[in-house]
Amino acid sequence: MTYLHDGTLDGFLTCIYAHYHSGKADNIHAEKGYGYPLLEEWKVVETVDWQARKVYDALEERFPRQVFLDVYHTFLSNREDKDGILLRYLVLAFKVGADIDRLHGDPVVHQVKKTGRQVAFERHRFLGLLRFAEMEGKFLLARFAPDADILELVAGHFADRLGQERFIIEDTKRKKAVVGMDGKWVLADWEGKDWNTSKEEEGMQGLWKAYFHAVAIEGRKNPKLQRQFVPLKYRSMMLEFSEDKKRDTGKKS
Amino acid sequence: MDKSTLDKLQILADGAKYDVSCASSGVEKKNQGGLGNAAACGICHTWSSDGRCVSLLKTLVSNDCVFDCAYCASRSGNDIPRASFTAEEIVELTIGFYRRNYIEGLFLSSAIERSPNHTMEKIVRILQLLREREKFFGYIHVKAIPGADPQLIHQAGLLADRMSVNLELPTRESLALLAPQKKPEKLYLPMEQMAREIRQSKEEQKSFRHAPKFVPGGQSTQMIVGATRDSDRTILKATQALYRRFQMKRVYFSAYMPVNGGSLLPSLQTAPPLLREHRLYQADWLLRFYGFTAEEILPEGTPDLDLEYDPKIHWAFRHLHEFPVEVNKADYKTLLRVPGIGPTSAGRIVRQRGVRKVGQEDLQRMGVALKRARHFLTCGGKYLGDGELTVDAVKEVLHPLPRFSQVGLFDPGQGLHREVGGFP
Repeated sequence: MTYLHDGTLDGFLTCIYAHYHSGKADNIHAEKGYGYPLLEEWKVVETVDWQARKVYDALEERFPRQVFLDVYHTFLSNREDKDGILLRYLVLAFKVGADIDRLHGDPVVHQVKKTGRQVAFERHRFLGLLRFAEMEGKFLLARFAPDADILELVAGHFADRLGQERFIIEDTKRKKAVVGMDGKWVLADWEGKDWNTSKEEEGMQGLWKAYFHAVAIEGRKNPKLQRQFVPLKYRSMMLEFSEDKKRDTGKKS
Repeated sequence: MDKSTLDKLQILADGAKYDVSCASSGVEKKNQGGLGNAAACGICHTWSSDGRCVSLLKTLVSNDCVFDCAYCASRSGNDIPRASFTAEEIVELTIGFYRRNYIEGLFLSSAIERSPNHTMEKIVRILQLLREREKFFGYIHVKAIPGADPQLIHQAGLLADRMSVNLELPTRESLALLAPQKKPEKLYLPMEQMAREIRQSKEEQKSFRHAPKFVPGGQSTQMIVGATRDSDRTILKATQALYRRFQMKRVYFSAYMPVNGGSLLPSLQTAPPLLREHRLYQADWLLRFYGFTAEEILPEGTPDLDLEYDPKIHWAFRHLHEFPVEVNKADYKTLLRVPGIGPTSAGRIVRQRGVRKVGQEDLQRMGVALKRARHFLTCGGKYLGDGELTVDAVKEVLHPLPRFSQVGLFDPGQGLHREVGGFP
């Protein structure tokens, strides 16, 4: 039996609750994107807040914090089978207890820790690579399209960092955004809008590009190494690489 | 004629680029009602075409130097464009870049403009503007200018996250040869002062939570590699002494790039010794995270690091009699000495051992580089290498790539900007 949820963490946790209280699940999946294979039995599980809460509380009380973080991060991953590997992990976790966090060599634990690490790493990467532009009216706008659903994971960092500044971080792939000010932020569904950049923006971007080229040491040139750190897929959102792109595609500006 | 901010930025960022340190790590700080914070793990914002991480706006305040050090691009004898930033220009650039998330903060160095005190005063002024007027809580690294009044260095230390004095050359003789105006004693004085004040401030924090923090990110320094005949052993022993005597957070190495001609220096055609620099960083890693001493890595009679094999496996080759060790018994320190096992994987082995035996197939999942490690391990009593453990047998399996293809494959930026284990 495959349990289907509404795509939220609460929905997933409700499926775990159902696994223990109304019949075992062999697999879990979000309704969206589920292929409804012919030979598989499935059931839609409606999200029930208090049931999700119970599973969440059990994770908080009976395990080190890291276990919840690994589960949360893995849930945000774009892996097709993430719900399934989490199901197997949680079943093992409720069996062995807090020691689960020490079984680094166990294949089930390894899958979750590795996936969670990848998501945490993508978040870390975007803390550096995200670029804001100043728009008319002085607010800051950043757009990105991360592999994992990390918008919420980066929001707190930028809300603290940017203080009184007003800012928007838009996930163009998932059509949602974080809107922040005064250290606080809210999540909203978002249709991309076009704004004009402020008067100062172009000048500051020019200074940054000039700086970026000035710091490279010609005698140590190593584009391969550079590509390892800044894969090509991230470069379209980074203005210091915008000229490379034009050159590559032969387009005129 | 007055230069534009753009012209100055090009000249002064160019002048600062040989300073290796770009770390923004080691300080965890929340925004306290202004702009900015700091993350202990450090955050890289981009990578320049030489593959080095860019995390800070790294610039000189001025390149108008009264010193004439042979290796330096800004030496007074060179006929190059000269420029100096005003304090306000640097503040504007820092805030402008930071708001847009281009950088983690500022790295401020400078030529000695007029006098050490004049230069240090300007650095302190910029720090005050950023911290007090702009309420900037991002990361700031500034140079302590040797010869400046200790009071100025004290003021800077209360506002900066990290400070550094570059030793540049590891021996008195090399310094006398290439930088006759720099005396080792003069370089050590500010290092000594900073080490002392950092210790004091940490001590006071224990009793008073709000005691002022002095250089909370610690101090660092750097040495040029390949401008003089100093051996790796000399450099590594100097490095170890710097960690011990001044509790340095980092010692950086910089493969010498010939920027000036001169009979005292390698010719302008000399390629920078990047592989040597890389090996030195590996050795430095062994000092800081693996519990090795400089004497273990390079014993008497071995002046230089091997270019073919990394220093850790080279050490293992010389200590084969201590291997193989048992995964399920060896203590953490012993595991750390196994080639292919690092602090992360050693930690995982020890953690799992407390609840479940470590099996052979667990090792790879724990992040152990089995290709190297298996020759030095038994697991549950079973030797994981093939045949006998001899240096030749291991070399046979690991056979390093031909020398010409090595440059570009190794990663001279690897871990350069990380301090504690790194991320994740």
